[in-house]
Amino acid sequence: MENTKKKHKKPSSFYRRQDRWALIMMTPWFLGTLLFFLIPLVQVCWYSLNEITLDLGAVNQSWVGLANYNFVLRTHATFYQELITTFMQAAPNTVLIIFFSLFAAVLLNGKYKFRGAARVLFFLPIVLATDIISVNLATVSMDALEGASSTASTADLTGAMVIVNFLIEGVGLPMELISTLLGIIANVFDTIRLSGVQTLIFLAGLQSISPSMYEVAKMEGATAYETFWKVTLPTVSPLILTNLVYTITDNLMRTDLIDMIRTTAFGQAQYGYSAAMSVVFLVCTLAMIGLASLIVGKVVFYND
Amino acid sequence: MTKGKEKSKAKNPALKRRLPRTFDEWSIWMRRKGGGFFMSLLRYALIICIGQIILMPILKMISASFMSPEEVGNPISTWIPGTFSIEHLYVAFKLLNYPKALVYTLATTAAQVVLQVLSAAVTGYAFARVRSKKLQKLFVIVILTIVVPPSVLMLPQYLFFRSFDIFGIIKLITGEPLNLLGNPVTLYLLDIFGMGLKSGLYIYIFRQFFRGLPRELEEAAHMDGCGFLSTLFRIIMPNAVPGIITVGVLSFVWNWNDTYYSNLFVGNRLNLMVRLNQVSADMTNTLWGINRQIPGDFYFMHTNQLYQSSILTSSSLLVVLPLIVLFMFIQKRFVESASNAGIVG
Repeated sequence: MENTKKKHKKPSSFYRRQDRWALIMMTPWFLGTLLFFLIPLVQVCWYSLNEITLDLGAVNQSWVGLANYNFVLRTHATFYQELITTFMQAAPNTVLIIFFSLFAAVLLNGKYKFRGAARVLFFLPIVLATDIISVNLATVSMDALEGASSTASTADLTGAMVIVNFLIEGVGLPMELISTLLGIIANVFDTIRLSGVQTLIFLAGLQSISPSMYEVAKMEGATAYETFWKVTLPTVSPLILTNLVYTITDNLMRTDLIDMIRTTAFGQAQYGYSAAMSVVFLVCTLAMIGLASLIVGKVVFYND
Repeated sequence: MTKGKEKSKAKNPALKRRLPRTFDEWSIWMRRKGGGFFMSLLRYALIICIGQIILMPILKMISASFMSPEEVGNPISTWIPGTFSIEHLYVAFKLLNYPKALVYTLATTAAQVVLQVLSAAVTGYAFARVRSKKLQKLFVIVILTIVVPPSVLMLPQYLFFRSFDIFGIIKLITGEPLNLLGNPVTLYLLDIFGMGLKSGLYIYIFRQFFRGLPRELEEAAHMDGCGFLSTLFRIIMPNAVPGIITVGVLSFVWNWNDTYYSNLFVGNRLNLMVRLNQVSADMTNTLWGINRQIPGDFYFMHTNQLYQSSILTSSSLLVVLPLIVLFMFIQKRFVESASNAGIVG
C-alpha cells in the first residue's frame, strides 16, 4: 500500500529534491555574483559620483555629483578620442571575424584527407591568443618583411602598387573601397588570430545539422549554393548571435582603454575619474552589444 | 530524381552550348565535369594559405630563437640560421628564471583550472536542471557577467581584496583586515565563486551541455535508489567528459595567457606572463640585472634593438612552449569534444 503511494509521488518528489539540490549548488555562485559582481557594479557607479582618496585601509569619499563625468568626457585630453576609436575599430573587426570564422568553419567541415591536421592548424590561434605574444609575432613578421625588403619584396611591393593602380585607374574603383580593402588585408593576421573560438562554435553548429536535411535538399534538386543559403545558414544563424556577443566582449577586453582606466586609478590615484571612465565604457559596451543583437536578432532563425 | 533532372538538363542543347551563366548553372556544370576535384583543390589551397598565415609567425619565432646574435637581421639567413646557437634561448631562460617560474605557473594555473571547471560544472548543472522559473531567470545574471567587461569592476574588486574581511571576523581576530593582494588566493577565491576569468562563459557552456543530456538518466538512477550526489558523481560527471575537456582546455589556455587578473591582483614575478610583461617593458635594465648569470660575449649588444627583440621573441617562445606541448597531446580530444558536444549542446 505504502509502496504504491510512494511510487505515485515519485516524480514530483524527485523534482522537488532536484530543485533543492540545484539551489544548494547555485549558492556559491550566487554568493560570488553578489560579492564580486553585483556589489562592485553598484560600487563603481557610486565611486564615479564621488571624489575618492585612499588612506591606509580606508576609503574616503566626498560627493561631487557628475563632476567626474564632466571631466572625463570634456576635459580629459585623450579619453573621448580613445573611446571613439576603440568602438569604431571594434565594429568592423567584429564583422570581419564573424565572416571569416563562418568561412573557416565551412571550409573545415565535411570529409577530406588531413582533416584532423587542418583543424589543429585552425585552432592553434586559440592556444596562442595572447597580447604580448601577438605583439611580438606582429613585430617578427614586420622584421621578416623588412629583412627581405632589400631584395625580394621591393619587387612584390611594386607589383602590389601596379595592381592597386590598375584597380583605381583601369577599373575605376573608388579610392575609399581600395583603402578599405587594403586595411582588411593588413588586418588579416589579427582577424585570423582572434577567430579561433568563433570557428569552433560555428563548426560545432555545422556538425549538429542532421545529414537528413542535406539529403532532403539534394532530393529536391537544390544546388550546393542553394543548400548553403537555405539549409546551412539558417541552422547556424542562432550561433551568429552567440559569436557576435563573444567577439564584441573579447575585442573590448584587449583595448588601450582598459590600460587607461587602470593607470588613471593605480598610476595617478584618480579613482573617481577611473570609475567614471569604467561606467562610460560599460554603458558603451552594453549599447553596442544591444544594438548588434537587435540587428542580428531580426535575421536569426530558430528551429524550435 | 536528381539524376533524372541532370540528364534532362544535359540533353538540353541550349544549356550545353553556351557557357554557364548563373551560379546554379555553374554548380551543375562543375558537378558534371568532375567539379568535386576542383572544389577539393580549392579547399586545400585555401586551407594551406590560411594555415601558412597562422604558422609563419611561430616558425619565424623558432628560427629567430636559434639564430646566433651576430646573424640577426642578416638578409642571407632569414629563415634557416647559418650557425645554430642557443644564446638567445639561454638568455631568455635566465631572464624568466624559467624552471622555477614554469613550476609556479603550472601549479597555479592547474589549481585555477580545477576550481573553475568544478564551480562552472556545478553551477551549469544546477541551471540546466532547476525547474523553478524564478531560479531559471537568474541565468540572465550569468549572461550579464559574460557581457560586462571585467575591467569595469577593477577598482571595487581591488579595494575588496586590499582590505579583505568577512563580516568583520578577521578584524576581530587580528585587529585589522587582511590584505590579500599579491597572493594567488585572490584568483582562487574568484574561481571558486564562479567569477574568475571568463567563468560566465564556462557556466554557459556547461549549462548547454547538460541540457543536452537526457533527464531520463537521472530519473533511472533515482528509480534504482541512487541519491542525488552519487547520481551526480557516478552518472552525470562520467557523461560530461567532453564538456569538461572543452572547458578545461579553454580555462588552462586563457588563465595561462591572462595578464589582466594576474597583474592586478597577484603580480608575482614567478608568473611567466607577468614576468614577460615586465621584461618587455624594460628590456635594457632587466638584461643588465642578470648579466652575471650569462656569458659575457654579447654585453656590447645589450642595448641593441635587434638583439633585444630576439631575446623577447625567445622569451615568448619559452612562455608558449608548454601550451603548444599541451595542445599537441590533447588536440584530438579537444577538437572532437568541443565540436561535437561542447558549446552548442
